[in-house]
Amino acid sequence: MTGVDAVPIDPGELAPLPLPLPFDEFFATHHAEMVRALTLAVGDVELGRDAAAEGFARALERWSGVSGYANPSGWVYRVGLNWARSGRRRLRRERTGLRLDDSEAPELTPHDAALVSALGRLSIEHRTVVVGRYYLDWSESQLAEALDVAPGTVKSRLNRALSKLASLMEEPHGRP
Amino acid sequence: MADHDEPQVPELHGRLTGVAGRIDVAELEQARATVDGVVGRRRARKRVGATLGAAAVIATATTVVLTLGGGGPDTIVTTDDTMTTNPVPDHSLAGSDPTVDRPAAAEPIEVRAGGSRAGSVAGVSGAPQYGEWIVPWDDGFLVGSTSYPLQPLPAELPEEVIALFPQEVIDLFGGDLPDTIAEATDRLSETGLLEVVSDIIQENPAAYDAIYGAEVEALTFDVRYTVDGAVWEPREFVAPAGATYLSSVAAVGDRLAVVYGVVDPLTGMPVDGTITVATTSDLSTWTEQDIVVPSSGELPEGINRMVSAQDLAANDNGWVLPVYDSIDADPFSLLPQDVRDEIDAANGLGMGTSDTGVTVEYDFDADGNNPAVTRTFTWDELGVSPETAQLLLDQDDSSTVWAASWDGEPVLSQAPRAGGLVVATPAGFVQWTDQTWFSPDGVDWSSSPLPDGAAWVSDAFDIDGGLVVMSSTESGTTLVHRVDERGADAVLLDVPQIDTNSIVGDGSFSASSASGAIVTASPPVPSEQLLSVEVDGYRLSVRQPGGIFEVTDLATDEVIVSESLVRPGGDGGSLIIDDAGITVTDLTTGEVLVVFSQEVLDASESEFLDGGGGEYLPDFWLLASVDGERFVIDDLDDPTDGPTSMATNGTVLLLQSGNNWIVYDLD
Repeated sequence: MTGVDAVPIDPGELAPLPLPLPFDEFFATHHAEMVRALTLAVGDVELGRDAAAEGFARALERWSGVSGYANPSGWVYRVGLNWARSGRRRLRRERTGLRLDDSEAPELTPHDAALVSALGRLSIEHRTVVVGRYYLDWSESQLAEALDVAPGTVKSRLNRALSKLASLMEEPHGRP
Repeated sequence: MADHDEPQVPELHGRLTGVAGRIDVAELEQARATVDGVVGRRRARKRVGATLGAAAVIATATTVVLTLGGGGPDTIVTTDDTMTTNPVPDHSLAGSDPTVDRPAAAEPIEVRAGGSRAGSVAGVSGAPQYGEWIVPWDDGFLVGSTSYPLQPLPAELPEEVIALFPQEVIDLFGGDLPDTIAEATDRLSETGLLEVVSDIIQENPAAYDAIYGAEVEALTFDVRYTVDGAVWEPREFVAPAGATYLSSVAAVGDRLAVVYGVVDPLTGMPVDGTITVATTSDLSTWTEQDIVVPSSGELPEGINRMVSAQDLAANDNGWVLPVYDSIDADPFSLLPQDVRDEIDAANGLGMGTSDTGVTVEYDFDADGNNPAVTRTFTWDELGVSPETAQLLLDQDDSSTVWAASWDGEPVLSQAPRAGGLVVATPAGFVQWTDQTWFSPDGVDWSSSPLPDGAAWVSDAFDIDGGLVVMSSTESGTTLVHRVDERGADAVLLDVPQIDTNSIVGDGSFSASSASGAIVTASPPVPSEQLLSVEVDGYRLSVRQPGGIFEVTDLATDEVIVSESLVRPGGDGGSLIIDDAGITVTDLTTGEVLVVFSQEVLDASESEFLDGGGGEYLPDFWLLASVDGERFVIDDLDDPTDGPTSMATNGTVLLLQSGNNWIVYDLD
């Protein structure tokens, strides 16, 4: 650089590089929210748990790399979603809504059941962004990075999803 | 915290969090053991093996016979009476599929493949970022969406509120709060302080009131005009008084019609059972026609009436509009305040409704079992009338169809099925149930048969002199017909590009002048992607349709095992799936021919997934025409989202798909 005097840096002044987050700590912090987020996104309690386990397992196998991501839980979310929709899984009929006839499904008030029913009528792409934005509280840019899509794609999906969700939640059940 | 630039669903974050909180997650230790198991063996759960089986469970065939070394054939032959519960699309010609029940004679169509020309990119050079509605207008198109103002932050907060937050939060903003909550949220998120701030706000009503108390500007409507999809200009649009969300917009000639219900700005709930159809020719002065849906009377607090309408069908003479009337209730809010307070202070809550009333269980033990309190409140005790209680229990909703001429009073239509797809033509209105229904005025209807072979109609769009109708046969084969303006005189069209198992539209664009529909074809996953591994001279793969597992002798290229894993009656096949993987045995000798270990199977799956496989990528196609004889068929480039807006002005079709506004010349 011209015209600028370089200032020598005392190595002692350098802040130490942050240690990678231990996987145990990451898992303890994010396990519950990932299970819940994936359950909401895929619409099935059992499948959501499995998807979370698969996502964390793959993260563990690659932790040296994944731990360096700005949002490792975003990686787990995406991988879990992809696994849930992988070739074997997608041959199962996709569930709509949380399985209320499943003994493992949560007890829902009619108020919540309306939300769950409406969520179930969104495409999985739309549920994914709604859950990421409104349950995981990720910003649009964080969500875009997590899902490996353009921020504009997240925004348009969110707009569409929320519009549909809003109208579905005003509708009667069972509208074709 | 929500970004108020997005459409609003009241309390979505809180409600989602509430629902999510009820999802039981395993104890941390158990969950971690599961993850370790998956990593360590990649077969931690029996359901992994069951999943492989489940992948083939879509088939219900039985398969027998392995006669290696004997006088019989060296193959296992499948008796393949398969019926998939989730059929994989077969892109072969319809005629080769014995399950296809398409009527034989079909009129050929002229097809122009592709045909799009450059439009514009959303958000660039005036092109709208997103179109909630799009209609033909003034030889071009009008595109509109609701613009929600960002929730502002107050210029300063009371000292006692500031004191609630940790110093690092105070230092972050340095006494200079951002203008909006969205900006504050982004900065808090970047610094990892969002959660602590959210918790403080949630736990301190004074903080909530102070932060969210600034007045929000009124929402506005962003309306833009384009003649060619490339050049855009803003158009002044003054919405009808009280309209904050337009649930349906349609244009007929120089008349724009919008549908809305007035909502409480604080709750987002309809203020009453009135739906308004308002029309304008100058985008600012309106003529209103009110539909007043009768109610069953005053509702107690906590029970809200939800009246809404969409899918306005309109022609030069008038309109038809389905209206939905339902009850939305939170039984918890019906309970006496002291009971609610008691429940809030206790551990857990279970709640249910019945003919008797509302039953609550609360104050559970530490394991979440054995509620200490179980109480039932009758509907009468809760101040809920029997009629309202029945509505709550049935979750039953009434749907009515209304119709009017442009200068008349709305009346109840005698439409056969409220809520079904209604499409307008110059002659009147057409609706489909198990028959075709036509009405010249939207009030009185007459029936005729569905197009030949059709079991149900899924979508339709208008063309000169009639409609193009998309339907399915009983077996799910897709049909495309051209019908007249009364929905009669159906002519089957030969559209070879439409896969027999495609999903043909869902009526999303039927309210507008579309001249087109979106067909969704889910591409089949090639069988080799599901499974293909080679060990010791044998290859294991899955054959579709039916999820049939095949083992091939690589030396001879002969398929020596072809077997479904679903065997009525249990065992008997040569493939065994267990923790070891997949073992192939010779049923005659009992000899193990080869073992495909779980490690090998997992590696195959990992390679597939790591390579980006397994993603669900629906394939969207546009099917459009103005005359029902010459069609534009285009494989859309954005395979994931699909179009979000579409309309035609008679010669040009404009659609938004992803970030792109795409234009097609139809003439």
